[in-house]
Formats: sequence, structure tokens, C-alpha cells
Amino acid sequence: MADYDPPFSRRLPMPGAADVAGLINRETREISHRVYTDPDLYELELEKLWSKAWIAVAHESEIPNPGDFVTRRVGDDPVIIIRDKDGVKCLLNVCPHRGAAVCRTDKGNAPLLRCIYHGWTFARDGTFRGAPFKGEMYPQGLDKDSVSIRAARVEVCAGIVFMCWDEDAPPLDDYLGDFRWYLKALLERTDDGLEVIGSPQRFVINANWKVASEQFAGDAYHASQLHKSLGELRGMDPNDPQVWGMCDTKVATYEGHAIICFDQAKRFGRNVPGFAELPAIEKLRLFPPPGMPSEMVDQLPARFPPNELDVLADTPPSNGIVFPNLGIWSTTSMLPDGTLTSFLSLRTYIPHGVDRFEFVMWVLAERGASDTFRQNMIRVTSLAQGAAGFVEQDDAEVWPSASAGGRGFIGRQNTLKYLASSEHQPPPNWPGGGLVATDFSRDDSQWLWWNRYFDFLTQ
Amino acid sequence: MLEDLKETPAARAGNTIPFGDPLYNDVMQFLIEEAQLLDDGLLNDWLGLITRDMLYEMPVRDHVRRSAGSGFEPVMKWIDDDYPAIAFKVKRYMATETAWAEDPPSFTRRIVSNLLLRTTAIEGELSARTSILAYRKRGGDESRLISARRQDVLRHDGQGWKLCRRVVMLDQSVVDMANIAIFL
Repeated sequence: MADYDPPFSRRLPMPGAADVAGLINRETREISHRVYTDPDLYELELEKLWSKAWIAVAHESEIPNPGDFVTRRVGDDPVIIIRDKDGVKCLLNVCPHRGAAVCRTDKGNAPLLRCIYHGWTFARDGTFRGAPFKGEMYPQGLDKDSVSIRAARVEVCAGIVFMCWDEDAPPLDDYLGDFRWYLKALLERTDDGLEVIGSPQRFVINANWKVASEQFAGDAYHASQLHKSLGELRGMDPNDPQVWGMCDTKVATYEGHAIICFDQAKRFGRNVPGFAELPAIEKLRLFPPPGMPSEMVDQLPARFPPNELDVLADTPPSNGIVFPNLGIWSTTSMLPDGTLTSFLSLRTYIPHGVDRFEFVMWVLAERGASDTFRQNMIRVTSLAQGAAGFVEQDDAEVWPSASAGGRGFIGRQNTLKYLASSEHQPPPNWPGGGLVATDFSRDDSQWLWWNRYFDFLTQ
Repeated sequence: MLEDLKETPAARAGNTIPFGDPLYNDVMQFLIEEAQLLDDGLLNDWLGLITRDMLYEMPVRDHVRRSAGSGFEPVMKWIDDDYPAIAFKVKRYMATETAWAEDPPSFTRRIVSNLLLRTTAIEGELSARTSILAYRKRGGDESRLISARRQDVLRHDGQGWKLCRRVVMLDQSVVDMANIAIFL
């Protein structure tokens, strides 16, 4: 084991980059358990991560019309995501005058933003528009820049609204890097694209946000144990790694993004004799990408060349993360009565202090899907995922203790271990980038997620 | 789907069965016993109180301006379960030893009150609106209170009352629980 003696067990007044770099041991692939509990490290995250990285905050379909807005959080900062005539804006939800929230509801429509406190008004891009009794109050005039709402950079990719506070950060495409193709395969499949159905589920869990995020960076290992009850009910062999998603294609990236691509033949081949020999389009008609009605499957060949279509049919990108905290779960599944169906959700894990995070979960379907189809997506997704889902109920049970274990003086000396590594060799004609492993689901993608985390904190 | 839950003239069309009426007492007795089965962890017995065409819904809610209404989502839900889904969840809790979300089980106490009972257009079915305040204690120092409006439809099958529809309308937008692994 690594010699994680002081300084790791000491609370430092405010850790510098060198102290933080010491919380990861790149030789032994261990992380200090302090990362989940240290309030000073949390402060550093606000500065070095949440104000520097590209963060997913909304889906553009949540705000279809000019003036539509939703309010969310990034780190500890409240933000407004609002549609303006020329695109989506992201503003700090803090009035530059005396600090009150400018938008006070979870969603709505506003022609102009008006603070209720003293009535200052702002355009949808945050620009100062006016103040009551302006001439009498400020006969000397106001400097527009210093009295406008702080605005972030915004880029929309695959329908997801990403924001970034850092004017010097590279563009989103660079940030996504090798992961860009996987996002296309997951979310840009039809001409009209996906839309969010209604408002997201939002609930809070008393755990550090990173416990959930790093799990979504490719932790197939936990499924056979934490979710063992599902195997008991469905007659899944607890000792067969194949049925527990541990023998799938797994992608790790140096950017910290990760995705597991579930092998459809291993999971469902037994339900369809001769599945492996079918042409890709026939496989996709049998198992349409989650959220897609089968009649839309014919749109796929125009958007995906044959080698990409094969991936969608055989090993579709299914379960993963966009660094740091946007989880994606797109999976064909079996209902309690044995019918095959699918679910599709996006989720973000938003910190509310060091030991609490908000889980936001959106359910999606292709635009133009019938009401029945959309309702079924909600029914199936909420049955398995989210606060009441029979799968994620158990994740929410374990995350708080996995987090709090690093709180005590002795617990702080514990390490989180990422000891298992794979050979990386993409299958022939694999269209996506990153480090691709097909041997066994090991820790590399989660390890690279942590590496990216420490890159941010020490830069 | 939530249209019929609003206090529209149509929803009020049923006759109110007043507090103290023998039928009112009968339904209140049912709801008290139902809550106690859940508090006592007797989920299989509870399952016996619901019909095969049962629908159990819990809509998502947003904080919105007064002029925009109650904030209940017309489509998105926390739970949208039919009987097989409910039975699957009960079986997971009761027939496996690895349903960690409720094993060890929470300590719960459901206070059901404010019953407003009405007849419906269907003979033998009653509409029951109640308030529920549920206390849930997990391990350590974790405890939560959650309150909701419940809108039930009960049906008499000749033997007794059965629950055939329940909509749980939480008084929360961001739910202050790590999971919703108890029935409300």
C-alpha cells in the first residue's frame, strides 16, 4: 500500500497545488479518501474545476422559445440558462446591484430579467437595461459593464447546453476530444434530434458529488454485487461476468470522459436466435437505439457509415460520463414481465457543499415520437433509474458511506484503489477514439477520470 | 393525466361523503390499516390491497410563478408504476436479501389524515383525497420528513376495499431523500 501518512491526514489551512498533487499516487493508482470529505479541497474545486471546465447545465429542448429559462447550479453558483433570439445564454443568477437572485423559479419565460429587490432590469444576455429612478439615483450615469449580469460562455453539442466561466478555456470540441464521436452516436441519431420529456427529477444525496461521477466513468465492477437483487429476480448467474456487463467494449479517454459500449449479442443474443448474423439495420430494427421509435431506424444509415452503424447495432455506446459530472445512460433492458424495452437518461451530479450533491435526471426521446412512446420512456426509465428506480436506489444507499468514510482522522489515511488495468486494443474498424478495451471491464476509465480531475486542480 | 385531479367542476361533480358517515369511517379505517401494513414492513400483505389494474404515479414538480399553476409536471414522473412494476419492487424488497436501499429497512411512520371522500361516475368506486406526512429514518443520523397530497381511487370488490389508483403529489420540487424506496 502507498505510504499515505501526513500530510494527507492533516487538514491544511488551504492546500496548495503541491499538497493536492500528493493526494493522487500515479504509481500505485491510488487516491486519498480525503477527496470526498476535505472542505478545503472543495473550495479549491470551486476555483479550479467548476469555474474552468465545460459544464453541462441543460438540454436545449427545455427552453424552446425566446425568453424560456431554467435555473440550475454550477459548483456553488446559481445560474440561469435562457434562450435569447440568437441562441442560449448562461448567466450568474445574482443581481450585480445588491446580490439577490434575478430568477426565482425553477423555470419560466421572461421577456426581460427583473430583480425583485430594487427592480434593476437586464436583457436576456445579461446586459444592463435600466433601473428605477435611474436619473435621480445615478445622475453621473452607470458603467454598463460593471452593472450587467456576469455571463458565461455557452456551446451546445448534441442538444446539451454546456457552459464555461473561463474565457481562456479551449473550445468545447477540444474539451470533448476523442469523446465527440461517442456523443454523436448516443445523441445525434436523427434529423430532428432528441428532446427532454418534461422537467428533470431532482433529488439530493448526502455524499460528495465525485462518488457518483467516478462511478459513471465506467464502474461495471459494482453491478454484480451492489445490484445483485436484480440477478436473483431474473435468474442471472452471479458468477458469469458476461451477463453483468463486464465483458463489453470500454472506452477511456485522457480528457476524463468514458463510455461502456454494451455487447448486444452477449446480452440479448439468446432472445433472438441468429442475432449475430443479421445485417446491422435488422439488428437495429429489433433493438432500436434507446429513445428511438423503430420507424425512425431507417434514418440511421444516412447519418452513420457502415462501420459506425455496426457499432450502433452490436456494441452501442451505453453508459458513461462527460467529465466532470454529466452521466449518460442509454440501455436496452428487460422489464419485470420479460419484455425488452429501453431507457435513456442524462444526469448531472451537482455539488451542494462537500458532503451533499443534487442528482438531476432528464429522460429523453426522439422528437416526433408518439405520446405513448414518450410515456413509456418515462415509465421504464423511472422504474430502473433515478430516485425511485430499482437500480439506482441501491447506488444512493452506498454513496453516502463511501463518501463519509474519508472523514475521520484515520479514515483520511485510507486510499481509493484503481489497481486493475486492461490491454487497450480497439476492435477492427472501430470509429471512435480513446483507449478502447475489449478484454475485461477494469479500472482504467475511472483512473483517467481522476487523472483529469487532478490535472484541473493542480493547473 | 393530472387534469382530473385539479379541483375542476367535473371533479367536484361527485357527491361528498361527509366526515362521520359510515362509508367515510369504513374508508378511513382502510387507509389507516393500509398505512400500518407499510409501517410494519408487511409489503406482501399491502400488495394484497391493490388491484391488478393499479396505477401508482408520482409526478415531478417545479417551483413556478403563481400564474403558472401548481408546478406539477404533466408528463415527467418520479414513479409511473403499474401492478407488475409494483409487484416487482415488493418482490425485490421481500424475496431477495440484497435490496440494499431498504435492507436494513427504514423506520417509518405514516400519518394519513384530512380525508375528503367523494363518489365517482363509476358505481362502487370512490375518490379519496388525503394528506400524508411520512417520517423515514435510515441508519446513522439520517432522518427525513416528506409530505404529500394523495389522490386515490378505491374500489369495493364485494369483500372489501381495494386501491386501484394512487397519485402522490409531493410538497417538494428537489426531493430531500437519497432515494424513494418506500411506498407513500
